[in-house]
This record gives sequence, C-alpha cells and structure tokens, in this order.
Amino acid sequence: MIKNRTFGGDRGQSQFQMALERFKQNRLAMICFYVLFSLYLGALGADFLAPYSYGSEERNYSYCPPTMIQFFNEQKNLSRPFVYGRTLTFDQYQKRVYTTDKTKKFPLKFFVKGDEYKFLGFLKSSHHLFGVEAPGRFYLFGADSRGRDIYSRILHGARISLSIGLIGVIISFSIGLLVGGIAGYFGGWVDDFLMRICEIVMMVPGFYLLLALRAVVPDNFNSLQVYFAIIVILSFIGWASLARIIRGMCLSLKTRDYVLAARTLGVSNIKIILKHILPHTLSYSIAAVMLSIPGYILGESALSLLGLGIQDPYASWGNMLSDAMSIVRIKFAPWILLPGFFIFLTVVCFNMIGDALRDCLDPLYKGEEI
Amino acid sequence: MLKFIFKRILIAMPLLLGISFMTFALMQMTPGNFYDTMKLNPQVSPETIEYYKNKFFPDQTMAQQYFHWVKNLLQGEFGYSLFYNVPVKHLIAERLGNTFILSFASFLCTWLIALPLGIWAALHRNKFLDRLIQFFSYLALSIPTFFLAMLLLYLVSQWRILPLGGMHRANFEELSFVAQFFDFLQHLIIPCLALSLGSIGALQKIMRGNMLEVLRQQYVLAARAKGLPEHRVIYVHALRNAVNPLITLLGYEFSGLLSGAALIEIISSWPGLGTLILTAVRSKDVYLVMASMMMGGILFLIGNLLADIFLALSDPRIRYD
Amino acid sequence: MLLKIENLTVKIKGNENTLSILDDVSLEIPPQTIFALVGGSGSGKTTSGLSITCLLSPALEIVQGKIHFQGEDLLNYSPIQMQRLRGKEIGMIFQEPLYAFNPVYRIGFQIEEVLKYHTLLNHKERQEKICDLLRLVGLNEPKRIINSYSHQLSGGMRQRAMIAQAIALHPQLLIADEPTSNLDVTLQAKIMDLFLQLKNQLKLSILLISHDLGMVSHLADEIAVMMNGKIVERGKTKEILQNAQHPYTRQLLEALV
Repeated sequence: MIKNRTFGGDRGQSQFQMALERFKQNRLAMICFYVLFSLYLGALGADFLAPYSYGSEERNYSYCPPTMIQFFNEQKNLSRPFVYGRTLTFDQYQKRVYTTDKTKKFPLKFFVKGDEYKFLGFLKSSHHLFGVEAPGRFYLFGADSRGRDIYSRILHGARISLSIGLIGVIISFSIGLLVGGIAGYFGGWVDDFLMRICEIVMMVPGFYLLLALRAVVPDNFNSLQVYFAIIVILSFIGWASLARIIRGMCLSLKTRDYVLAARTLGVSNIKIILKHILPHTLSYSIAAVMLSIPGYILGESALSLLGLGIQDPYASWGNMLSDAMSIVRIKFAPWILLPGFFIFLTVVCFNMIGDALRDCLDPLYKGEEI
Repeated sequence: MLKFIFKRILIAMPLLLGISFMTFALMQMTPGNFYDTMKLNPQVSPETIEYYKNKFFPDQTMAQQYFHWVKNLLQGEFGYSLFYNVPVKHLIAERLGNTFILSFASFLCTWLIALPLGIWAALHRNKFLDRLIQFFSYLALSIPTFFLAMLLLYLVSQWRILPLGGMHRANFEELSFVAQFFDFLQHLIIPCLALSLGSIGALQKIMRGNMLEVLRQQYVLAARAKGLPEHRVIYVHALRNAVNPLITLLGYEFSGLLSGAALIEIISSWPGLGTLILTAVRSKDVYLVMASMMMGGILFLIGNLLADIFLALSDPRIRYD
Repeated sequence: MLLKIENLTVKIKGNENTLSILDDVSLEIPPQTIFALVGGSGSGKTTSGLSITCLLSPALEIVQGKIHFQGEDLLNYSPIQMQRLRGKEIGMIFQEPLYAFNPVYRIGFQIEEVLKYHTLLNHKERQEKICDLLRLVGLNEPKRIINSYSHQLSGGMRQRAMIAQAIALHPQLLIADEPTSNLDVTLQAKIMDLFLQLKNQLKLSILLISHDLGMVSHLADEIAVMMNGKIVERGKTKEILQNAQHPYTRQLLEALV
C-alpha cells in the first residue's frame, strides 16, 4: 500500500520509516515494546516504586507468603485497603507456618515514608509509591530467606539484569561492527584471519567459556568491578557471531556501485567503511541485536544463579533464583520462582520485537503467494 | 568422500590449536600460583608435585610452557585437580560420558519430535492446531532453560512421580539390570525435557518454514505433474530438500546442547562435565577448568565434522563441487 | 477433439470482486496438433495450462467451465483419477529445468519414478526404456545422464531430459510451459525441432505456452493469443500471421519485425 507520497515536495518516506510503520501495525510487537518499556521504567524508578530497598531484611518474616490485600473489613464493609499482621510459628515438623493476626491492621498508603534512598544519586528522599507503615510488612510477591520483599528486589534487580543486557550488547555490537566491517570490506587474508578468530571464539560452548573467563577474574574484586567484569566477559563471547553477520553483509555491499564510486574519488578506506557500508548494515543488524540481547540477560542470570555473578546483598534476577536451586524451598515457597517469570517475560518480549523488526525491515517481505 | 573428510579434519587442526592457545592464555591470566597452592595441601605428596612440575615446567618461559602444554594435551595429560585430588583426565573421562548421554538423549528427543511436528504443521498450515503449536513453540524457545528445569522440578515435587535430580537411586548397585535401566531413564527425563523443549520449539518452526518454502518449488509441482501419489511428492521429494538446511544446524546444535546441558546438569544434579567445571571454577581448580573448556571445544569440532559429513551425504551438490 | 476447454473462469478464492485470472476461456486442441498459447506476463496462459491437470495453487478456484479430455470432463475427476491421468495421458514440462528436477536425486531415479508408478515393468525393463527415451530426445549418452544430477548437466541436456520424462508414457497431450525461455537461441531452435519430431513420431499434441510469438509461429498449427485472462484471438497460424484482427496481436506481430 503506497501511502501519501508526493514527489518533489515532501522528502517521502525512507526505508527505515516505512519499516517503522509496518512495525507499529504489528500489535503483538507493540505490546511487547510497551511491556519492556515499563520494565525499564520500573528499573529506573525502583527506589520510588518499590515499598522497600533491596537490602531491607526482616528475619521474623523469612519466606513469608504474599500478603493478601483486604478490601472488606470485619463488618463486611468496603474500607480502605489494608493488610493484616502475620506471626510466625513452627509446626510439629519444624515447618514454617504463618498465621494471620487479625488484630493488627495496617492500611495501605500512598507516598509512604520508608527506607531512605538517593534518587538519581544525589536527591535524598524516603517516600515510596505505596506501602505500609512499620511495624507492618507488605509483601506483594512474598519474602525470601531473610524476609526481604521479593517485589522490591525484582524492581531493583531489573536495574542490573536489564542494564547488563544493554551495555553488553552495545559493546559487542561496536566490536562486531568494526571487525565485521573490516573483514568484509578488505576480504582476502584479513577476512580469513579475522573469521578464524571468530570461529575459535564461537567454538567453545558458551557456558564453558563463560565459566572459564569468570575463573580468571580475581577474587578480591568488589561488586562494582564484578559487574563490569561480567559485562566484559559477556561481550567477549557475543561479538563473534555479530561480526560474522556484519561481515557477510559487507562482502555483498562492497561490490555496489556507490562504493566503487567513492573509491575512485579517493575516499579513504576507513571512511568508506564507516560512512557508506556500515549504515546499510544497520537495519539488519538492529534485528540481530534485539534477538541477541536475551543471550546476555540469560548469561548474567546463569552466572548469578551459580553464585559467580552479582553477589548479595545486591539483587539481580539471577541471584534471586539461586534460592530456588533447592527443591525443598521451591516446594514450600514457590514465590521465589517469580524472578524467573520476569526473565522469561523479558526474553519473550525481546524475541518478539526482534522477529517483528526482522520481518518489517525485509524489503522483500512477501505475503501470500499465488 | 574420504578426501572430503580428510580436508575437513585438516581445516579443523588450526582451530584446535587456536582453542588450546586461548585456553593456555586464560590459564596464565588466572591469578595465583597453582603449584604453591598444591604445596599447601597436605594430601598432595611432594612426588606428585615434582611429577607435574616436570610435565608442565612452570618456571620456563611462556612459549616453552605452551609447547609443553600442547605436548601434554596430545598425550592426554591434563594436569592435576586440587579439589578432587586426582589427575584431571580421570575426572573428565568419567563425566564426559554422562554429559554426552544427556546431550545425545536430548538431541534425539528434539529431532524425533520437532521434525514430524514441523512437517505436520506445514501441511496443515494456519489451521487452529497449527496456530496453537506455533504459540507454544514460541513460548518454549523463549523460556530460559534453567527456569524451565526449576519449574519442572517444582511440578514434580508436587506430584511425586519422578525422582528429583541426580543420576542414580541410592540403592542403584543392588538393582537388577532392567531396574537399573528404568531408574536411569527416570532420572534422565527431567533434565532431558528441560533441555529439549526449547530446541523442539525452535527446530519445529524452522522445519515448518523450510517445508513451506520447498512446497512452493517447481520440482514439487513437476513431481505432481508426473502423476506421483501425494505422499511420495511430500515425503520423498519435498522432505529431503526441506531437511538439508537443517543438517548444517546439526553442528551448532551440538555446541549449544553442550552449553545448555551444563546448566541443566547443575540444577538437576546430573553428574556431568557441567557440574565438574562449576566445581572447578568455584574452587579455582585451574587445570580442571581449562581441560573442561578444551573438551567442550573438541566436542564441538567433532559435532561440526559429523554435521559436514551428513550434509555431504545428503546433498549431492556439496559433494561434487 | 483431444482437449476442449469451455468457458473456463478462474478467480482468487474468497475474493468476489477482483478481476479473474482466467475469464471465460475456451479453446480446442485436435489430436496431433501443435497449439500455441501466446501472451505476456499475467495474461493467464500458465494458469490455463495448470488448470487442465488440476495443479492450480490452493489460493485459486475454478468458478465455472468445463475441461473435456478425450470426451470426459476433467473437473469431475477425483484426485486419484487425476493422479493417474497426469504423466500417463497428459505430460508437462516447465520453464526452468534446473528447478523442475529435484536437485537431490539423480535424473534416472526421477524418470524411473514415472514408469514405476504407472506401469508394471520391472527394473531392467524400466532402465532400457529410459535409455530409449533419452536417445529419442537426442541425448546420446543415456547411461551417463541417468547417473547425473540436474546441476551436472547443461541447460539443453536438462531440457531434453525433462521432455524425455514427460513423454515417458506416450501421453496424448504434452503441455509445455515456456520450455525454451531460459535457453539460448540455437538451443531454442533445436528444441523446437524436437517438438516437431515428437509430434510426428509419437503422434501427440503439444500445448505450447509462450510469450514469444515469433518462435512458435514456425512450429504451431494453431495459435491463441491471451491478454488479461481472456483469449482475444484464435485461429490457424497462417491466418493469424497474415490477417491479425485484434490490436494486441498486431502489436506482437509488429514487435517481430
């Protein structure tokens, strides 16, 4: 369908804009986009949006089940939402039992005063979007072994899990673009050599390489250094496949006429690669990038899950799941699996968006054939 | 044909060398002196330390050390494990088999289920059941395998129908051979399933896509025009061509399988290479880590070689080029 | 009359208002005749050929019409009857022989299939028959061709092999859909000679579908010109060449000079 295109007057739509239009028409992809957007927003505003900070412990509420929000008071009248108090007892098998204490009512408030935090690193505040006042505890998604609110930790964990994906892929992508562009453009032995290196990196199964690289990181790194080390490790594993894709595209692009024209005009090789060839690979690269972000998120989750990534008390979706490695705990406190659903949700959304982008950016996209 | 195999093996050599170099470099970068740590361990005799020092020459230059490292690799000497207190090669041999079994079982599961499913989906395109299969495939290939393993373990813990991890029952040795076999299968189901579901989803989509593409080709029309029965057109003419591109995937599947298997092994306590390398990394057992990595690389190369051979067998265009 | 198509109309399924792919097409092909169906892209000529043997894409449907072959209406045939008819009574060859042969099976295997499913000959007899067929179409090394794959043969050899496959069972009608469009000019001439030879030797009719009026005019006994799904002109070759009525036919003829 040719949209309103005027010749001479308007600039008309670029390929990219047309692809964007098609993307917007894909409802499923747009939903995924909004979901991801909300997740990233949630991560940014975690301090405010979560009722508790990630380290706020309450050992008396270890593995407390999710708190039910009550809308009706004892007289069965509609009242302001509130939660009951809980007390912990142990039954005859030493299993935890939480009994609801109906005498203690804690109303659910907005803009509640809670743990202190620094918004954007310097604005001090202690207001949270919602919560209950002490000594009540509101566990939307239940509590973990130390009584920390899982919902709050998921929001804070989003910061790490989602950011590692983005930063890692940006680094990999830059390296991959450069290496792939050079290999594809120059061809010959440069291409062979660079591709051999890529193959070697891609050859060792990802998980083994991940762990081996992790073993090289010194023990005395603090959390921030470990965070960056993980990003570097993930980028090292990821750049090779991107480089191969880019190289393939560059190989076919360098024979195009406008490249030959640039060369006869004496434009330097680096400039040709950067200005003429690489921009044309962008459309396909973006789809490839979207589809590879889940790999980074899963890589970080796997490392943290095994205790080799982000450590306590910091939250990452991966290290929250390390609790779930014990089947006994899963059986009696299944809510600790919730971070896994968030990882799942994120991966699904990135996959859908990546697929949709790839379909939209393909100018030869065919519908039904006769 | 043999020439083809030989050529492929020849190409693999420099790659193998490359891995060994990368492994060696990583080992050098790992902080700490391995031999000092060994000395501190009272269970390790001075003779053992001398033995290994004479194999790996830690006091010589990097280049010389690398030379010895490669020489030892070729002889099957992988060093010593601090954590387990045995030479690495014993550990690898034991665990390699288990990982291989899990990977192979998962591979069989994936291909035996995904291919027929993909073919069926292509033939009944856009019907309700096809759409349902596509939906679940999408979910299956997006779900993180470790999370799936955890979910499966959770479900099984509620319903109590299967064992929860490990590879043998406690009284395995006492069981009859048949009982041992069934016990083994029971333990294999969850890790295998967790590992396969995602691949089944992905492979099914690809198979369906390939099948649809092939069914549009002229030779399918020509086969029908010849008066061949429909089942021959689909299962003899279309299928062979649809499966060919998948065979190139075989090699990469294998590598991915090893990788994915490692994590699943750890979660379901399956004693394979994955659990081995995890313990190694946690305890900074350098030689063990590197040997596991080399193993991974070698298995990948073998998988790729097999895939190349299968492809050449099935697609004559590759063979006679 | 060997083949008689009456008022055939083909439309895209589910789309009542679009133009028809084929609009009220009628033609008659007598036995031992070369009948040319000429037209540009999208004129419906290939669809006409495919609809005879019920090989239309599932997205299309036949809205009305009859197709009489040797007295029977093919549109009433069940799929099994149709399958028996194809290859045996009506053969078909296509434009690009590289893709009309399955790339993963040898030529001999594919030609033998036709014999296996339609005759009761044993393996040895089939092999002999294939050799005879290949020699008939002008291929002098039948054993080598039998063991080759489609990509190992030249374009001309492939096309001849495909013709051999199509006439293996001595059909009454051979539908040739743009058989020479992908070949160079000398090969075209040779294939045209082959068609003439087959018509005389095997006493079959050929429905020659092409966009090249010049090429078929040397060969065809009768010509029909198609445009936009309709037959706009029809008649004996001589009459068309000397006395074309429809402006489109005239355009095509002018392009020849």
